[in-house]
Order: sequence, then C-alpha cells, then structure tokens
Amino acid sequence: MVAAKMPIETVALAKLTYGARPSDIASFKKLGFSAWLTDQLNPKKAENSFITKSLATLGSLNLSGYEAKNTFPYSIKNHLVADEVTYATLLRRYWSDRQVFEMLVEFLHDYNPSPRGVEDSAVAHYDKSVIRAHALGYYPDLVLASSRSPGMLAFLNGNDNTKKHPNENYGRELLELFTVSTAHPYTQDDVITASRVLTGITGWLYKPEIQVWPNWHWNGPVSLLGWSDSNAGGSEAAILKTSESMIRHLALHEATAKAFSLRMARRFLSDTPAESVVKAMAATYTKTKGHIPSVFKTMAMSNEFAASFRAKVKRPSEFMASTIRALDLKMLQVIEPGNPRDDDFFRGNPVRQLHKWSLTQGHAPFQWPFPDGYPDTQAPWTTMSAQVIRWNLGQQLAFGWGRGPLTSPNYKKLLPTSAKTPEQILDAASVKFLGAKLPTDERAAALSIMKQVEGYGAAEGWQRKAEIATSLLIAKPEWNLR
Amino acid sequence: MSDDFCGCEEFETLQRGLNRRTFISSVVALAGGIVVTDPSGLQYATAATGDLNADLIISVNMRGGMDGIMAVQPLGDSALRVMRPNLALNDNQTLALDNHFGLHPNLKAFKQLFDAGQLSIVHAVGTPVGTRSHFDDQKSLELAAYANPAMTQGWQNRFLKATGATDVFAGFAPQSQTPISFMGTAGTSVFNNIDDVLLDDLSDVKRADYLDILKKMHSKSNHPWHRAGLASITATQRLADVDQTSTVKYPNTGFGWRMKVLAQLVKSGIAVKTANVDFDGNLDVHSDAGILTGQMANNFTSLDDSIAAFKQDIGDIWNRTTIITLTEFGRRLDENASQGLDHGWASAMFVMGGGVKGGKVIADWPGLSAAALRDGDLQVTLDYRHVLSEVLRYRGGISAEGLASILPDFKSKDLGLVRQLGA
Repeated sequence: MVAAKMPIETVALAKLTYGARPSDIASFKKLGFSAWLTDQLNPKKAENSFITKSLATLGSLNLSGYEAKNTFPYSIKNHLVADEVTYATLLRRYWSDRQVFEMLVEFLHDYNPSPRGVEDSAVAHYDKSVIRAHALGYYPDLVLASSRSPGMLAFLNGNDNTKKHPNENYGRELLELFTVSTAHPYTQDDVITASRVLTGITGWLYKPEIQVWPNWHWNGPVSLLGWSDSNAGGSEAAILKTSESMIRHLALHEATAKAFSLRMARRFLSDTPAESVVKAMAATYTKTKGHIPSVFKTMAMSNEFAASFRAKVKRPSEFMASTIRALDLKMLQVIEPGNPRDDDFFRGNPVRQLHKWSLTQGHAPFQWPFPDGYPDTQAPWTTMSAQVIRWNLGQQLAFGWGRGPLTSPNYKKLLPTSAKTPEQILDAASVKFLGAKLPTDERAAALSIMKQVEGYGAAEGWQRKAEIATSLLIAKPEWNLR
Repeated sequence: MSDDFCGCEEFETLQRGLNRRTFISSVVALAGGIVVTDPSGLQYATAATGDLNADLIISVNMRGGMDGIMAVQPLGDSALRVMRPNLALNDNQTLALDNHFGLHPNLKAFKQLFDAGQLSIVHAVGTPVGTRSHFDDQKSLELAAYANPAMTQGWQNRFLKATGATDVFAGFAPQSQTPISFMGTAGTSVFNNIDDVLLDDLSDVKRADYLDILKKMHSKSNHPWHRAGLASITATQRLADVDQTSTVKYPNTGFGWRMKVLAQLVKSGIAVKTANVDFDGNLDVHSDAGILTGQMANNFTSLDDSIAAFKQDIGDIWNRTTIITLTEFGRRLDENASQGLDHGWASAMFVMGGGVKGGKVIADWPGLSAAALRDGDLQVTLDYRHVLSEVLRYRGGISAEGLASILPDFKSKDLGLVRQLGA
C-alpha cells in the first residue's frame, strides 16, 4: 500500500501521539489541529481517572530520592522505585489523555536520560522533577534541573567530580549530547572547563537537598564557547550561580537550538528531516529561549510534517501503544501492590506483563544504559527480533484470549455493524487500521484464511474472523510505520 | 568536531613518526615474547583463497571503553603505580605472559588459551581518531571507514558482502537492536532469544497459508522493513529445529547468555559467518573501577567464563572460530579522585580461536612515561584495522580485492596473528 494522502488527524495522531483510539479521531476533528495541539500542550490539562487512580497506588512516584531511601518498603528495595515509575510510564503511554505530553516525556528521557541500575531510588524523582516538570517548559531549565538532580549526579559521576580530579563524564556529555553536540567545535579543554565549573556539586541521598562543597570546587577564571566567568567559588551560592550561568549559555547556544531541533524532528518527522524544518524550529528555539512546546508547534505545523506520514519505523514502545490504543484495550484490573514484605511486590499484577513485553522487545523505559538514549532511526529497530515478536504479540492482542493483562477487543464496537461477511469484516478492518483496503492478492489470501474458520457458530465465527483479520493487519509493514 | 579532534592527519603524522623511530631500541627494550611489527608493512598477496570453510568471526564489543592496562598490565613499570595507586596490580598479582605483560588474574581461561597458543594480544591498539566520545568513537569503530565520512555501512556488513554471503543468518547479533557494524543490506539476524522469535501459529489457520500471506505483505516494496520481513519469515522457520539444550554452564550475565544463544545456532549447523556480541558489563568505570573486587574484576570474570563456556559448548567448531574483542577507547592513565578512570585512547585487543598463532603480545609499546602519553592517554601505535584485516583475510577467506572493499583506503600490515585457513 503506497501511503495515500492521509487526512491530518490520521497523520497527527500517528506521529505525535502513541496512536489513535477510536474516539480520538472524532475529538481531533471537532477541535481542529491547532486547537487540539494547544489542548495537548496545556500544562494544566487534566488527567483521566483511570490514570489518576492507578498512579495513586504507586507509592514512590511523588517521593524524592532521599524520601524513597527512608520510606518502607522502598528503603529496602530500591528497585521498586524504578519498577513503579516504569509501570506508571507504560500506563500513561497506553491510556493517558495527555498523549503529546507523554511523547515529549519519552523524547526528553532519551535526550537527558538517567536510567535505572545506577541510583534506583532517584529514578521516579528524576522523571517527575526534571523531565515532567519541564517537558512543557524550557529546555535550558530542564538541563539545569538535570545537572543538579541526584539521578544524573550519580549516573554521570557528578558525585565524584572534584577540583583535584575533575570527572569528565557529565561535562563531556553536557557538550556532546545535551547541548551544542559534536556538530559544533569544542575541545578537550572545553570538556575540562565544563567539568571544573561543576566540581563540588553532589547529590548523595543521605540528606534531602543536594550538597555543594566549596572545598571541592575548582576556583578560577573560566571560559567556554563564548562564555566566561571569574568562577571565584567560595560559597555554595556562588558555585551554583556560575554553573547555572554556564549551563544556560550552553543550552541557549545557537548550536543547541539546532541540535535540539534536529533531534526533535528526527524523533517525530523522519530519520532525515529536511533542513528547512530544522532551521525553522531552531529559529523558534532561539526566539523563545528554548520553549519546548513552541518548537514542537513549529514542527507540527510545518508542510514537512503533513508530508511525513509513515516516514518512520515505529519503535517497540509505539508499536505496543498504538496497537493497544487502536483496539481500545483496557487493563483487566487496576494495580494492587502486594505485601510490602513480599520479595515479589507486584506478584501476579498484570502491569508486570506490560513491562515484560517492553523488555522482550528491548525497549523498556529507563533501561537504556548509555547517556545517548534509545536509538531513534529505522535501521537499529528493523530486526528479526522486532518483526516476529510483533507478529506474535499483535496476534495475542487481537485475540485477547482472556488470560493476558488486557481486555479482549470488542470487535462489535470497533467495526461497523454493516460488516457481516468475511469480505465486509476484512475491508472494514483494513480501512479502520490502515486507511485503505488490502491489495488484491493479499485480500484474497486473507479471505481464504478467514474462511478456514468456518464451522464455528455464527457469533463465534464472526468474532474469530475479525480476530484473524486484525492479526494480519497488525502484521502489515504499514502498521509498523508512523 | 573541532580541528583539534580531527585526528586523521594527526594519525598519519603519528604513523610517520613511528616509522621514523628507531625500532631497534624498541626491540631491544622489549625483547622476549613481544613481536614488534614490521614498520614497512607486508602487503597481502592478491590471490583469493575463496575458502568456503572460512571461520566464524565473532566481534565482541567491549562497549563503554575497556581499560587495556588493567586487562593486560605492563610489568615492572613504576610509573604505573604512581599514576594508579588503587588501580594497578603488583606484578606478582597478574598472570605473567612474558617478561613484559601480565594478564588480569580473573582472565584465567584466557591465560590457558594463551599458553595453548590460541590467544594473542594486541596492545596499544585502537582507533586512528581518538575523540574520547563513546558515541563518535563507537560509530567510527564500527563503520571503519575513516577516510570516508559518508559511509553508512558497517564493517561486518561489508565483510559479508565481500564473501558473497546471502543467507539470513550470515550475520548474527544476539541483541534487540541492529549493531552499527551490521548496517547495510547483507543478510543478518538480530534477536536475543530463540524462543522470542519462533512464529506462533495463527489460530487454527494452516501454517503455510499464514506464511504465504506474510510473504505477500512484505513483497511489495524495497523498504528495509519489507526486506527484513521476508528474511524474518525464512529465519523463524529454520529456528524451529534449533536444539537449545546444552550441558555447559554459562555465567549468569547478559554476555554469557548472548554467547550461549550464538552457540545454540552454530551447534545446530546454522552457518553464521560473523557475529556481533555486546559485552554487557559496565566498562565505563569513571568511579570505583574495582580492579581486584568490584566492577572491572567482575567484568573480566564474565568475559573469561563466558568465552570459556562458549569454547567448551561448541566443541570442534572452535577450530574454525576466531574471536576478536573491540573497544571504542581505553582509559586515562591517571586514576581520578573516585578511584575511577576517565576516557582515554589506546587499549588492548584479544584475538583467540583455533586458527590463532597465539601466545604472543604484539605491540609497538609506546611506554607510559609522561612524554609518551597523549593528553594522559596510552598512545595508539597500532590501528585496530590491522587486526581486522588479518583476521578477515586469513580466517575469513577474503581476497585482497575483497579486503580493499571492506576497508577502503587502509593499508594493512601483517601482525602474524593467525594462520591461513587450512594451514
């Protein structure tokens, strides 16, 4: 199927959200693109009650790393903090009404990550106070918050960064990944300078606040990519002020405007976005001082956006979410954490299966161990692993089978009542999920397969045909593109 | 990338500098088990071997930057202990390889392979351009085309193309994402668990019909997803017969698991020509590197035990297997304040297998004196592509022309690492 010219609601819901539920298309059309986007980017947009209720059962989501260290059962099982924010992330991707926000959250976690496996107590707080707090705000604020968060200070060794031996881990990635990128020239001396400016800022979790040690700080004049400071140190306030000044300079640098825009366009438009749209986004970035929603709007409203339907391969997170959403599946039960003294806190809870599916596909939240985030281009994800797992999982979701963590699809609601014969079922489902009927040879093959299940009673036979048709449509290459 | 970082010319200068250096003094200073490479270089003969029984060539990615000094420590170097008060061993704590180098004590199986002549070590080796960036150096390492910035195909993909291999399992990586060295159009399979990629039956639909429609769906475009889909349909059917049982116990690490899956394939007669296996331990030890206990100690145990288990598991296939370890860079010589090591440049490579002319540490050893270091890093005096060239040429059965297509613009020299196929 050649990607036909698709209506904007199809393009926008496929590319800017985790996928359209049946009801999303109507509400998008009612608002129109611009108003829909404004609503999605509204920081005050309310969350639905399923998400609110589910998240309320996850006790660590609102704890700081310090509090988690001192709150049972997280105090003795740090990994539970990372588990809970992982579950929350998956629930939000699949069922939150704030879809664009959730897509931005994932994008920004890939951009400035603080993965699990380092300081698990701090993972939820990083998600809340660094990523979610700034995803609809300003990128320089996000980088600054990240640089001072216990999660990042542990991950990239800010905690070990001293004047005697500056630890370059964060300083290097600050330049290379988080701000100007290697597209802009910088030197090893610049890496050392960036590291030195941040010496003495630590975030051990033995007390509520981060700790700044003037005796660990490298004092003396510094300059870096057009920024300079006397960096006299001497007090906590002075050290924090100088480091903030440097980070803001770097995050507002024109090279960062470009790097940010390229990265965002690559996430949402295509692996090789046109220079024109990146340039327009960078101009917005500079004009708005790094206002993330404004840059996002420039991208979404561009001509390139409308023309980029199916230009990207879905990563596993998007495949799972878009399938669950298209089939309008729900959790069979809300989360009920178990006995805090049980080693297996979430034993038997269906949310664990959601996590397991994301692990099997190599794309679980907070699991990429490097500071560059999960790969975001077609080639790394075009694997046998991705394909066969998706064919199997797609089938599992389309059939339901009543034993997974999710409800079975209600095809009576998903498909029009006029869809009665195998031909009608297949054509209606094709148009619904892929926007067009199948090519002749595939249509004939699919119908022949659907007719193999003749012999069931009428209702069951109809259901089975819908399940088979849907499984096949999910296996289509087009379903794996966005 | 700044001019300071564009190391191409810099490396050329370095190479010329080395060639001008008096190699005699190095040889005298480092006599013993060390082979100093022939500075004039040996050009490969043009005859292709065309051997269909070429080796399985496994590239083990020591991703994160493996410290080569800790793995293979120079002996009798007092400068080392000054620079690394906590992260260097006493000479007698290492497994001495000769008078000059000692292995990390956890690399016990490696020592046995070395003694049996099946493991060679190349030291002070690395990429021609050291940027100290994980991502830039890893990408360049896997693309291995320093003179061609537009290259998008990985070196293992080019190797497979040069062999003419088209089978979907010709390249295999036991992981979830395609490695950069596989980027391109050669036949490769990427998955980390056979059970995950066995195709389920579609209800009670005839399997042949299900496979047929999957093929039809993936036949209408040359888009990579379609092409890979057709390959996946073929591959999943062949995996159904793979025997996953083994009596060999692998370490309970990600790397151990990956080597086990690779063994399952090759033991079942699937002709993997080249594999790309990520080591999974944290090698990026900016803090608490842990030389005798802790991070690096555990890393070496996992590396050693996994490869020992793999060797035992695959039996005679070992005779036609060559494993090389690659890393994007080594670590800084100076230990940092948190008993860790920041990014550096040169590291060490292990080359092992049935066809290896082992028992040697091959290095043009630059030394650890302040003057010999580059910005505090061990200098790269051997380009890792010499190792790739020799292994692909002599164990991969690649002709000189084939080699030129895999590593264009690179003039390789013979390090005497491996025997020719059949020799």
